[in-house]
Amino acid sequence: MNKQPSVIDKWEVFFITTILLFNERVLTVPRFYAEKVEQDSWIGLIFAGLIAMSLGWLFYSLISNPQRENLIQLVKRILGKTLGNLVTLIFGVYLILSIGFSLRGVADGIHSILLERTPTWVVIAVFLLVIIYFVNCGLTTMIKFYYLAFPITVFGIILILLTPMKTYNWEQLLPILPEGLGRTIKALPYFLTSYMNFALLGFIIPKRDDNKLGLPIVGGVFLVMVLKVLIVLTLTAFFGVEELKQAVYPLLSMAKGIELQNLVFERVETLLTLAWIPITFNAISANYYMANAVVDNFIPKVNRMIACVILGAVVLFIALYPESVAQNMQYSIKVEFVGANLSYGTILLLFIIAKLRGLKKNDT
Amino acid sequence: MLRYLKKIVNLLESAGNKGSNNPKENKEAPFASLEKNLKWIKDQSYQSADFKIREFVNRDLPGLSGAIIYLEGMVDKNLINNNILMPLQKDVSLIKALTQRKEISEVKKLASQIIPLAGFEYIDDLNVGLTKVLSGETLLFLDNYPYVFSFETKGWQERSVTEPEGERVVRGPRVGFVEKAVVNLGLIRRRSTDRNIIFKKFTVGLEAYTDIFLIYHEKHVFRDVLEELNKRIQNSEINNLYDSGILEQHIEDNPYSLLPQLQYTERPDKVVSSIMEGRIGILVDGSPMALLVPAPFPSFFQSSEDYYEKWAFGSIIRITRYMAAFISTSLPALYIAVISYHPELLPTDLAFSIGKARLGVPFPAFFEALIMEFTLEVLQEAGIRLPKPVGQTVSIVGGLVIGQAAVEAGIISPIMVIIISVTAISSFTIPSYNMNLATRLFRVPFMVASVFLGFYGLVLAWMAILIHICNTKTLGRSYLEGVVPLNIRILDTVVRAPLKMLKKKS
Repeated sequence: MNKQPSVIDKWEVFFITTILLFNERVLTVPRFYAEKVEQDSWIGLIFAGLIAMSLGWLFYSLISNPQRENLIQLVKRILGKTLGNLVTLIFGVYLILSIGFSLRGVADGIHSILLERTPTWVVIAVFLLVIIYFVNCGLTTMIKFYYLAFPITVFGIILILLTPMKTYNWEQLLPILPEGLGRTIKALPYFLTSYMNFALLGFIIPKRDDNKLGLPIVGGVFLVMVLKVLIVLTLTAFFGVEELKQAVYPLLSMAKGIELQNLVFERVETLLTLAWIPITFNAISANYYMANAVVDNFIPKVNRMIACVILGAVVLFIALYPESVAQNMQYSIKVEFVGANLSYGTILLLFIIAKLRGLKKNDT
Repeated sequence: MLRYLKKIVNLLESAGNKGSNNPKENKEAPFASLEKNLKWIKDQSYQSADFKIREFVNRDLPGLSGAIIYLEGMVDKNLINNNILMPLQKDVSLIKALTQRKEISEVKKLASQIIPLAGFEYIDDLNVGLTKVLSGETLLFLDNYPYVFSFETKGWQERSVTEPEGERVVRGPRVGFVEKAVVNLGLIRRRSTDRNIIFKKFTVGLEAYTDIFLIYHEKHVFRDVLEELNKRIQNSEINNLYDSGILEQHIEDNPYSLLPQLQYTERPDKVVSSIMEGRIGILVDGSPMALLVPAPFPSFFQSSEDYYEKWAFGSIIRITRYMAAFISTSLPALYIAVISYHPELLPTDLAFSIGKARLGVPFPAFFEALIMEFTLEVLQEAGIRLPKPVGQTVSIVGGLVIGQAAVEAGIISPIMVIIISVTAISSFTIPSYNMNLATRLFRVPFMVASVFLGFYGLVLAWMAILIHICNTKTLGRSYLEGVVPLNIRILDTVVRAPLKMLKKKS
């Protein structure tokens, strides 16, 4: 009776794609984008979003195989065992590093707004415990949770962005493309980091009976693109480019500056915390699940719970490695940059190899 | 290590089963001699005072003797005297019918024509016979005849049908289940004459038999749940089934979860409406509470009255209940988090007034809340156990006198009294008592989470509970059915849409 549902709903895929792509980095990356392309971040996000949508479609066509193989099994089938294992290993290392630095990012954020005196390792360890429990519950539970997290994420963020509407100075977005498109296109690989993380779909979709899920994936990427564009537009309009470049957590700083008069909680940062913790949790837990799947690929006999706990210890070590907030951000950006481009490159490569080998969709 | 522990447990279990006195395991054929049969019964019943043995002879059949055995207080004596004893003593037709036919089927046929009772059974196992006596039937033994006959003579004092105490409504039927399962079956039939509603009988118990009935709609029932339920009931190793609550704990998916996974009700109308939706009702003889499966999370927030009043009221009240459940679990924790870690989140005036109210209180907010929670639980428990008039006095003394005195003595702040009162009242709006208990149980871990990690801990605790809810199953089905994935069923889970729309949905 504990079988996973055999059919996945289109809405489920749409919600999950949105949840997976809308990760904790929305707190920090607007500043990084402002450093790269100043007020044109939103254009870069749109271009990267369009690329991500196409790659999302390609990804779906790869993973929707009748053999119901998950992403790791599929990679091994297309690339062969040795090369497949190597790619999986690289992918696993990236995931573990990404989880570690993301968790540290969460802890730093929590440290700065809520728990100034609580040790960082405590904040990370508690978060990890909930993640381990979550991942151990399995994919079906994860899907349900992501489904429920969707409205909190989307409406929470929209509420935060709309509240200070009167204070936005939209003129700070001008001029558009003062240096032409070149600067933005050059920064595209960085913008692509905003649209990663849908690899978990490679574990969900092959197990279910539905063969028309390309559109919901693209729709999910589109919604994330809209939300992220909205975030960088409003942040630039709120701070101006120069101030944005200096802000460590721009979204948080914006939330701190807003007060909701005559309410029980008049500080918007409360709302942000409510929305931000689940957002972070969703993205990190997805990566954690996949990292665990990678461990399972190499050590199949190890108990899932034990693997999760050992993985947790490694992640905790990585998360505590950076010496400062800035150092963690540097590491994080580098890892995400490599990871995003590696992931998208791999999707393209797999697709091309599958085509070159003349393998029909049914055979892959 | 665990494997060895499991082996030891299995060995112990198998050793325990060897000594079991389960009547299902040992068949004891009746003796030809009446004396031996009576001796066996006396030995097996340990000569219990309520076992009555009435020996008799027939005036027209000299030499024939027999005895009937019944349990004092469990039988209708008029039935025994007029319909069994009198024909046995003064008439020959019944005895002849029972003894002079060779084929058992003929005996049964004849007896059914002669015996003016609803139930009659031929038994070839003394253990089964003894169990029948224990459930209110009367056994007949005849000398030189190695068979036993059982007559349906159940008749004991029962509580009459009254308004359900735990599920009162302003509008709707005022009928509640009683302890006798057959009366409850009748109450269900009275609510619906649909011929597709079926009662399926099981007998449960290793040491003592108890009848249980599965009630479902033949066309609408969730087949997977029915199969699973059958399996779980048959595999349940219950010694004595005193109440449906015991069965609930044997068949639920996760016995370690604090969340209720089966719903219970005293209302026949609720059982019928649930059956029409495909769910299954379980009636246990001796229990006035019917179980309903599967029981998804939203079902605990629904009341019969939601359907008897207009849809708008039904919808608003349901949403109010969800909010009340949230308050019930989280308000003290939220207060602790804000007071202990994030007072800056409050408007300045409110923060000042709370600070002023807490001046002089010697305890931190967490201990203050714990003291109040403990007091509240003690008062609730006392109110339930004591007779009604005394219970009300305890509530008044506890709520007003102690509360007021504690505030004036400076032990508790007035704001904490408000917080705990609102929390308690909110928990009472949840229609299902078992969900109410769950919200009360979750309250303390939430408080602990917020005292250690403030708002962050509270959000993580909420998420952990939400994960647990997502992971919970009820008879193999999702606990969030009707909510996730989003579909038309949400019209009857989170809200209550107009009946016309619900009809279309079904």
